[in-house]
Amino acid sequence: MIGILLIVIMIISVIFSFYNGTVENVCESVSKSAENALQLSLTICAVMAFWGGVMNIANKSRLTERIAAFLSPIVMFLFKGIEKGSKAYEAICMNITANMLGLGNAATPLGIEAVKALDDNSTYTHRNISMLVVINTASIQLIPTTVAAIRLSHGSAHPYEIIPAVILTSIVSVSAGCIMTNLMYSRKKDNGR
Amino acid sequence: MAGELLAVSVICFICLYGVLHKVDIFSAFTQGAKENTKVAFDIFPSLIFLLTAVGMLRASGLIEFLSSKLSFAFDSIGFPSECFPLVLIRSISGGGALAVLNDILSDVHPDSYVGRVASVMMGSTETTFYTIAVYFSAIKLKCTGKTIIPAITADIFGFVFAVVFVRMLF
Repeated sequence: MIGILLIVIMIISVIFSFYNGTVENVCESVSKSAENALQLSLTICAVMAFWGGVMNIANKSRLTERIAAFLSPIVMFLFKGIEKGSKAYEAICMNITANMLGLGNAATPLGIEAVKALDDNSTYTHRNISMLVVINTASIQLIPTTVAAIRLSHGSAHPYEIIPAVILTSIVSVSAGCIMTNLMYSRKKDNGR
Repeated sequence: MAGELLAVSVICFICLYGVLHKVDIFSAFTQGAKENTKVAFDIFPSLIFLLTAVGMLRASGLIEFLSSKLSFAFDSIGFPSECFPLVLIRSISGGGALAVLNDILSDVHPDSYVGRVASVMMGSTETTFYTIAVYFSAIKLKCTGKTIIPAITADIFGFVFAVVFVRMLF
């Protein structure tokens, strides 16, 4: 899918460059791109490795489980018909915590475990699964490490200055997603479908 | 400033919490750093391809051409037209969005208005369609509009409020 998109982008670029008289620039950019990719990877790698290390300390010291416990009221409010302490409940809490801390490697398996546990043909199955997927599609990461890395590589003096704006925007977007999910399943007969 | 203070506080708090709970923080750190190093280098091959395509598109001048044609529409609602390519690709490809953000930030300074808006957009949204595909491939249920519509709503709110909050906070 993405391969086709990229080929289309390349062909359009070449055709347009003939019209625009920028053929030379396009050729030049091809030879530079691989090196740019390496530089970008190195910066991302350094910053991501650092935060991976920090967040692994949080994981090993069971701080993640403490945070997950704090999320209980929110999870019970957003998801219907799940019991505290059930397998689905635990997986949802841990999935949301892992997302917040940017533990991508841990978040996806936990999320899949959660949707599998939610897939039990109860009244709220589809609603709860939608809710979890929507929360996962709206980034709720507290510290946007990859973005900070790219900002750093382009000479930002304050790569982390965007954090408050990112957190506020995330809260608004994830709330919008949750409210919309609620609206989608607001009619009683729709809950099971 | 507030953001950097938060980042530093999080680091100190986590390390302190680890020490108080008798975790070998050095080995925990290196283990986590090693895992993420692998993740970062796993995306390197696809980044080469993505950056090549996006780089060609930029060098051809098509983005500038379209931005200048569309800028009156974006200007009238106060949306920075430079960020439009990011909006288009963000929900489809994470690596593609990374390449586009990298491209935008090589044009404008990361600490400028446009640079900040692009950064906040990238940081507060996800690769929606990829995420939906991953979760629904794990279960038998079919993905319906009742999942897709809220997910896209969340994305749109993310893009719009990135502009709103950057204007409010900086």
